[in-house]
Amino acid sequence: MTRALAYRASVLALVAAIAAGCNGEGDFDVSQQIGPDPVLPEPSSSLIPDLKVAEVVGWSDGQTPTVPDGLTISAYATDLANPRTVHTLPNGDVLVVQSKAPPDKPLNRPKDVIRGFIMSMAAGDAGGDKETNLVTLLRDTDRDGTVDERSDLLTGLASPFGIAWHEDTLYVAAADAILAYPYQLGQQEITAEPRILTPLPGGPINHHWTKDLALSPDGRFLYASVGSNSNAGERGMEAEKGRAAIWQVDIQTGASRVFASGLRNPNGLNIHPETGELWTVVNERDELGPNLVPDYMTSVRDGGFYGWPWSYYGQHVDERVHPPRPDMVQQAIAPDYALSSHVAALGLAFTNDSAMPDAYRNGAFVGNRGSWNRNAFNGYKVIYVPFTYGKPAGPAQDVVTGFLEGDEARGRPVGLAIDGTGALLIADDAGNTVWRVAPADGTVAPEPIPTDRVTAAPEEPGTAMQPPSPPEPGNAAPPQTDVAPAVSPEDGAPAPQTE
Amino acid sequence: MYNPDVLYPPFWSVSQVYRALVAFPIATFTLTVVTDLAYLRTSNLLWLHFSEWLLLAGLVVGIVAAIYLGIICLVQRSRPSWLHALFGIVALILAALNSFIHTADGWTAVMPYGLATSIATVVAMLLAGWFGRWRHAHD
Repeated sequence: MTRALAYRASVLALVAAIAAGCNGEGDFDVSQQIGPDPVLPEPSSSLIPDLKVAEVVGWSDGQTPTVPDGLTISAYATDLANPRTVHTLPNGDVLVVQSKAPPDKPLNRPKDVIRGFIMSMAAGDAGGDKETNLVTLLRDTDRDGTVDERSDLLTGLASPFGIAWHEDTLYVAAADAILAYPYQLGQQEITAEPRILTPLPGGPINHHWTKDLALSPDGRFLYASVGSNSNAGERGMEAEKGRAAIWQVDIQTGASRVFASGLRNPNGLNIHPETGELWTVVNERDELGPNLVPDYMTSVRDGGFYGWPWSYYGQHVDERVHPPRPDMVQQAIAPDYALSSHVAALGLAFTNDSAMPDAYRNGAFVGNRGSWNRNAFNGYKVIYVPFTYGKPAGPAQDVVTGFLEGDEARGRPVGLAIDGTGALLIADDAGNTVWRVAPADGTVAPEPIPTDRVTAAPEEPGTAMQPPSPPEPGNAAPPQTDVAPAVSPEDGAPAPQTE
Repeated sequence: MYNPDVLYPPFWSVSQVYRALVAFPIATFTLTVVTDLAYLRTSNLLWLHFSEWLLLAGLVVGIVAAIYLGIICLVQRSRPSWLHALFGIVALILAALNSFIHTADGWTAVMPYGLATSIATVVAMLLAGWFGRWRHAHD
């Protein structure tokens, strides 16, 4: 009798010992992983993944994030429903894209069930039952930094994230397609039905579902980010076709190709105003330890492959992905600037020509939504990375903090943009607020700078409208599987047979 | 007269229910070795997922069997060999450990510790079976 009880007790003790013995995190200085050359420790695996999720409590009246001297912060819009993206149109109107993850992701493993629960905790439901998946227009008519008119431009969308405007058309990236709506600047509502510019890889898995958009400086192309369908390829490579990539989409025809790949979860697409290069922030993989792999910000090369899933930060092989592909690892490009591990960088905004004080005038703000796969919090703030000649130059500084209070999150910064007056806007998806960070002296930019700056005149319509010429025999492009795991459905379609 | 070799005793007995319950972990933990090997051979993640679900199913029913055995021990004066209980519990602990090892995303879920633990679990079950003779025939 007592013996049986002793058995039970020993089981409990052992289980407790296993759980408690999981890893003590040493004193790792996170700042070693911010910059062009991050310190990368050896991968560590623990039985139970490191986990620390901040409970979302929301902002009480009058509470705001904290900013350093010389800046001031105010709530630009409240009572939103999971705002993810802020975008400034050429006339200074601000669009706020609000959305939540698409439902009904298939669960393959016992782990998926637990993971879904953790992610819902991290997202919080401070928004209550408010209807999300909409685009709201905010108008600051007198350019004094407060919203004077507000209206819901589009509702009932399918998990929208990216948004762009060019030549009387509003492009919205839903979770599975880029939609094009006729829209003239100043309009307060959209009633027209959209056309599908191009489909993007969507469900049913759609693990990293946020599709961001940026317009090329010549106005010819949209860049669309498509995140991976898994952490490190554990849904199989057939689930990754066209994913972990940035697509280039012809704005006239919708024709698309994979512009760059091996980017696990790219967001915050932006064109650098000086160089015209495409930049993105990327969320790197989990479960290799609390200090792997650093999320990063990088310029994106045409045809570039950045390692996912076979390697990280250049050519550091991820042993989990099998069969190994040394040929792919060899091609992997190391990104430009590490932001440290698990910060969940999702927003990026260049500050050139903004109204920000000189200290923040030539560089990028990065919105770090905050960690969960780590036993000490990292992220939960907006940082500033100074640039010189279009490249990051110098350490990052914390600019907007106070999203985290103890073990509770009041909000989580996601998308960033410079508003029509040259101040910084922050979409806070857990706090359901858009924050405005402005110079304390009230400086206002002389004229609105749109989020997508079209600098070069587009080509003559005649040439742009021409259908793509059929590929010349013997001069076919190499199959995209040779350069990247990403193969878009269109690109993968068999070529018409010609005799 | 009690005959331990009878395949189907004429009526349900306490030990028969126990044997029915432990059949689950015996089958699933053994199959886990097979599906682990299938994953290592093919790199097809389907087999890794099989291992995960087999471990979970075996654990759930195995824990029910362990609780059932504990109750019998408390209620009845008879009990199995303590080595049977020991190795049975070792098998369950190893399988629980193995479930966590198998949560890794890909190759390291099985190679090397996942497969090693799967095999160790089967060895512990074999030992539990070896010492599984009831000290007193109570039915």
